[in-house]
Amino acid sequence: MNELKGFSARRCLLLIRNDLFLNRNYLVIFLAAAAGLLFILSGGRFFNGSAEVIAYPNFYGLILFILGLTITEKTFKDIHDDVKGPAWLTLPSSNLEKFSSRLIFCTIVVAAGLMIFFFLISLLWEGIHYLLNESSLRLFNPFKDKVLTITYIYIIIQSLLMLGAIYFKKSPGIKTILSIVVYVLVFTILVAMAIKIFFGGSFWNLLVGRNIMNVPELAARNDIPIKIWSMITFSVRIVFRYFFAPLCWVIGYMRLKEKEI
Amino acid sequence: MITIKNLSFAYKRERLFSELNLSIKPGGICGLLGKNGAGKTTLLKLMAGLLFPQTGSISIMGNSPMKRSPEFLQDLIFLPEVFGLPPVTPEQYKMLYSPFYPKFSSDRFDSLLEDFEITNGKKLNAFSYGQKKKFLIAFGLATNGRLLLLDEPTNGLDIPSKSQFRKAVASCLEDDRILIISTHQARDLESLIDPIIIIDEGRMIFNQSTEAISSKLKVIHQPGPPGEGEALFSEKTLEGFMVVAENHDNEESHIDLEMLFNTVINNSARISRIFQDGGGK
Repeated sequence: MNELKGFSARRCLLLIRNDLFLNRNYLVIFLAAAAGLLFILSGGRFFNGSAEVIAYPNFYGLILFILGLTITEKTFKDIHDDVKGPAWLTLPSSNLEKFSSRLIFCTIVVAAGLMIFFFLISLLWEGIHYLLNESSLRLFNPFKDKVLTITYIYIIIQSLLMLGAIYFKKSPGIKTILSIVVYVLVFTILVAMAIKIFFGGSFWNLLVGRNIMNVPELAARNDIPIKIWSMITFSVRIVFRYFFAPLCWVIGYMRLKEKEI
Repeated sequence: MITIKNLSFAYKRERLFSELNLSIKPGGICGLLGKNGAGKTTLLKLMAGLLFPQTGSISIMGNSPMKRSPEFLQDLIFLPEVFGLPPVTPEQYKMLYSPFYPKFSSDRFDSLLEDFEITNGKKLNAFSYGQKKKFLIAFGLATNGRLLLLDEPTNGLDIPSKSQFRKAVASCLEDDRILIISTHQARDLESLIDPIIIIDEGRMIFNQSTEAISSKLKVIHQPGPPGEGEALFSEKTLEGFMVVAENHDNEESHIDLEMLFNTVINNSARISRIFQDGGGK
């Protein structure tokens, strides 16, 4: 295995294996429940001979978010636990290996596992459907754009929850959401105030939304504030898509490095 | 070798260590004694890299515990007083965690489990506290780590297990290995511990080998109470009085750990003067 300075792929894989092994009961129960739910939801269409049993990508997204976020909260709980924490923190592997293993487990392993699970379920459904209706269904395609986009959005959202799970000892999910709400509120008020002060003349009121920006008369004016606004929204989109998750990972890793228990 | 220099540590409201200096050589079982809240567990956690000093430094076999590097952790076994075990069998536990320890000896682990009478079929979380502890001690010793930090290891062990524990610990003593045992149950480990470190109110007030202790202090059994200034510590017994005094005449006697602890705690300044005069570590 590749052994870089301070990072051993072997140890990282061992940690992932351990997490998978120790969470196996939870995963099996969750997936069985998901399969059951899928069966119940698709039952009507199934017997009607519908072309698609269920909108797989949507259901995949729902299950991915529920499973991924709960498993993130569950796995990172250990580090705050006075009883379990010392054993995990003193396990011979670097902080980077520990962090990476949990990141990979909660993102790639969970998402890839679910893709395989959905593909197998769709294959099963296909078989049963063919026996009952003698017609073919659409299989779950893990490489469909929608599925990949959902997975990508999940990884971004998960990174934030993971950061919350590393920071907060109790109820990290709720506390992370509350923190975001507070940050967004404060940020919105500050931005709105700044816009009102500096670009007040270009807007009709404080509610600066896409609709206002799209008013043709305003767009035609080719105003500097409009350009600035476009740049801001573009930058925010870029940051969210490409930099937000890595930023959360870096902060999370730093926090884990200095974790005391 | 463990070297602690000018270590200061405080919890949010409470200062625990201030300018603590300590050095422990390998090849012995170091007994860490202190009253409740003296900082024994905190000191072990600082050595394990689970807590970070505010100032000062800790060096353990050339490693800084704060970094929690794999090389350091491969040599470290920390057994806290309160611990948790996953719902797996001993065999599964070995399969999950032994690959992290390059020097892990499967044969030694199996033989220790046998000595401790631990069966393999049951899941670890269903074990009693004493069984869990014995299991972790067995695993820790089988890793062949060079630094073993045991916090109250004999708490919760029954009488046969305590004796098995003493035997197991004595058998793992090697020249390059350091064992630090923090305990209140001094009598359980009396025969093993050397040197003895006593901490009180965030300071190390005593760090001496048993040899130095025997040469500097003696225990006298006498029918009446000791005269003023004569004894460092005395305790009434059924037969009279047990007195700890300075050993001016190189008399051989055995001072038990509890007596020593009480003597040091009650006379730290005088004890420090006595041991400064040569013979100490």
